[in-house]
Amino acid sequence: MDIPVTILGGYLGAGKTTLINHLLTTSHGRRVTVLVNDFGAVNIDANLITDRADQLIALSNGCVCCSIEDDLAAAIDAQIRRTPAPEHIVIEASGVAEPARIASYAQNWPGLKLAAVVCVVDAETIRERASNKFVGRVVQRQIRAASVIVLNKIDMIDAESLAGLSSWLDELAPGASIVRSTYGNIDPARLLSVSDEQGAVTYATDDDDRSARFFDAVITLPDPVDVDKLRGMLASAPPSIHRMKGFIADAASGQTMLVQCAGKRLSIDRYPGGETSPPLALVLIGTERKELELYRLRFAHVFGPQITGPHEPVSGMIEPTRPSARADTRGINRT
Amino acid sequence: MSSIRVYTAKRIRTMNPSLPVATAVAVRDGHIIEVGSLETLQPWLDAHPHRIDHTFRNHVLMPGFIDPHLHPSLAAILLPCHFITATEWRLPDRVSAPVHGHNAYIDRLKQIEESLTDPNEPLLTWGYHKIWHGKVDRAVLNSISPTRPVIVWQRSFHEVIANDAAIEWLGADRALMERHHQIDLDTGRFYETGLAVAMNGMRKLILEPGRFRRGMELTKRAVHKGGHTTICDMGLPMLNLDLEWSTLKAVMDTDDTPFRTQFVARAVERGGGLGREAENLERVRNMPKRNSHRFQFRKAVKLFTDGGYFAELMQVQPPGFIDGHEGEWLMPPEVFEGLCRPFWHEGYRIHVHCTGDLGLELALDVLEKLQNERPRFNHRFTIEHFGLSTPEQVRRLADLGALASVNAYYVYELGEAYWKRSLGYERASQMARLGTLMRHNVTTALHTDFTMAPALPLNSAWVAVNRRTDAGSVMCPEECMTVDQAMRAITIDAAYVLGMEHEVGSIRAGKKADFTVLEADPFEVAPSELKDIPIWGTVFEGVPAPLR
Repeated sequence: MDIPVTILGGYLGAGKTTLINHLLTTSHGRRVTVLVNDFGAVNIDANLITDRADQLIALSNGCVCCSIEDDLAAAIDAQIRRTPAPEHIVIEASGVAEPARIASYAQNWPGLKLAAVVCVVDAETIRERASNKFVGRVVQRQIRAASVIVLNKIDMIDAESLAGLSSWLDELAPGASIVRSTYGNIDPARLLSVSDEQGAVTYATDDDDRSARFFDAVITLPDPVDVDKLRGMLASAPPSIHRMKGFIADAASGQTMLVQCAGKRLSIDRYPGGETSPPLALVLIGTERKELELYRLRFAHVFGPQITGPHEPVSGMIEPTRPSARADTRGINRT
Repeated sequence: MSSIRVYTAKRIRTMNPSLPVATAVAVRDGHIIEVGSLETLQPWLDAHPHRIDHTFRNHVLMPGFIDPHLHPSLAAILLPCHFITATEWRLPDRVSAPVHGHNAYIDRLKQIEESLTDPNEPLLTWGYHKIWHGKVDRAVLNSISPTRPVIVWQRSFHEVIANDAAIEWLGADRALMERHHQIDLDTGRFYETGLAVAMNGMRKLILEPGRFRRGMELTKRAVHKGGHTTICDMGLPMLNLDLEWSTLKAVMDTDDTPFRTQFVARAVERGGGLGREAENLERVRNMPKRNSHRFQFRKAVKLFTDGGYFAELMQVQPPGFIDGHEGEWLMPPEVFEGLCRPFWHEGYRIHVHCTGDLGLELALDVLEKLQNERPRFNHRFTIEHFGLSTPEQVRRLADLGALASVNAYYVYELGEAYWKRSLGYERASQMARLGTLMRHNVTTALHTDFTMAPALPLNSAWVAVNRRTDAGSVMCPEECMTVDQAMRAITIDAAYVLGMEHEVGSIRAGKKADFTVLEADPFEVAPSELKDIPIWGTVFEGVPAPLR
């Protein structure tokens, strides 16, 4: 039985450690192991600690906190071998890590399966961080890679800013659920959602606790595309596909275009450009796996299969639908 | 006090501009008494017992070469591998001749396989590159041996290819490997995250203490062969302090070692970050307790900004990479700044690994901030590697009083590849911007980051002077160094970067009697032949150490 893994990312100071402290000490009835980068920052009530070693703290509720010590592989292996094995593993990503990269690492490790990629953001500073000349791009990629965004420290901003921030996040990471919090104080269940048998990830939605299942697919379009043809294609998507977003190269003008499609609203606009050239690909998010599969096959038929490179496990322009909530954008970039 | 020994030579290039050329040097107790000619040395010789040694009458003496940035522990892992490389690697126990073409590669691999006497010994080879060696996969490796584990480790370290026996030997779960999307069992390829699975299985071989020790012995010989008398292990520990230190002590802190090693400790050993500054400072402060005659920690520390240059993970300013991929930060900028601060205030020399121009920008921003907080002169904040930069950054670097320690070899091996695949011509041709550093009077050293480049200072100087790539093009002659500048960069200016300019790096009265003995004069041979000057050996603290 594979152990579900949550990747916990977010930039320095967003509140990851507070969230981890909270996760380890609230009663949620699960044996959770948290792998952290820096042991020193984790601050746990001494009364709860049953065992303490160089790289490990064991708690009376069955949870374990373990430091990665530069060797994620060894830390994961040690936890998998524990008896009883953890019921869920949370891996803290460093502040500048590409969570998508760690997610793909965890996804492929023996005995693990990916449950969710969580990104904690500091409501007060995130907009500034996201445009910082050194880390702006990685901060944006962290948000884009998330299936759950914990919008932390909302007490630090006013309602208007919060609304603006929420729609900005929604734009950046369509399909991710947003959980608002102060002091990392959220229901741990939101971090410990588990895949069902079909492989879909169960997320708690923001508004209520109804669960919604999402599947995604990535379609890479490295060659210029006829925009009218694309428009027709997108308009014919089945209703179970909620969001489609990404970038294409317009065959007529050679320009990079931003494609956004949510429900019936569709826009294809010239991408004003930023510091980086975006990956030429579309991300599709839907609730019906079968329909998503069929639609992407239709896409392949209309726009023609292409070889995307020797490193691609599937030769063809489309990656199979995956249960992970968001695409590994770095992977798209590379091909 | 022992008697004076006078070495005469065809020529002595002192690298001291006040007395650039000499023909005799008097040495006593490991130090230089005087340099000049037999005539000018006479007052000393009249006053003290001495012996005149003409061993070097046909040779050229230079100050002992200095590599201010290499990694003995990495070398100890790599050197026991069988090298099959596209470019020539001159190693202490062998020369890995260039191997081009698929058939030549396979022939060489077969030859190695047949030379192994133990049928179970895993065959680990390094240096494979698809561009040069064609497609090598599991089936090809099975034909080399169906029973011996055969593992091909790619030149950039980012991929391994294994035969059936090796896949078995790695000991990983078969079902896992089958479903891993970055392991292809059909072709035997392990890459990206799949590589971690392979490396996990390879540890039992590459970190086995006996093999690691043999690798360290080879590293010691490689350092000597390059003509070094001083090196710096820039960033200890690499993997495991106890294993590394005990092996280094046993191999390189011995009376027969003809060179000294400065060690620069890493500011953070593992994980670690903000909030642990005091702890880190204390650990680094305690490292000099380990000092011995040959092994020295000084008041210096190593930090990092962005990712590896060979791995294309440097942080690049707009317009970025041609394929749009992103570089990597090795730590968040705030952590970098936070780690620098206490060391800056304590008066440490700070060495920062910077490969891309955005990584460099961060280092310069932090240096400027620290200069505002507590101005320091002669601080020797050093940019290490210096892959990509802009001319304006060099000017700013000079204004802030920083130094550069440059891996010029990037131009040779990556110049064309990064021009054609990664960055385009303008920026790729200007990597390792040495000419601009010279025009701004920035004290600059050349290093090899061994094993990123061969540990051959004359080879580094040759690249810096000629900027010729492996395929033969000249990359931006405007950024070449002169021969004099390049020779300074492997002697006196390298010493300055390490804070050792009063002890080594030139030949003058009072300094350590460290010489590199050459068969020709670097200032007289054609610049294109610098790398081919044969090395007789060295003199370390007055004692000759010929190469075997």
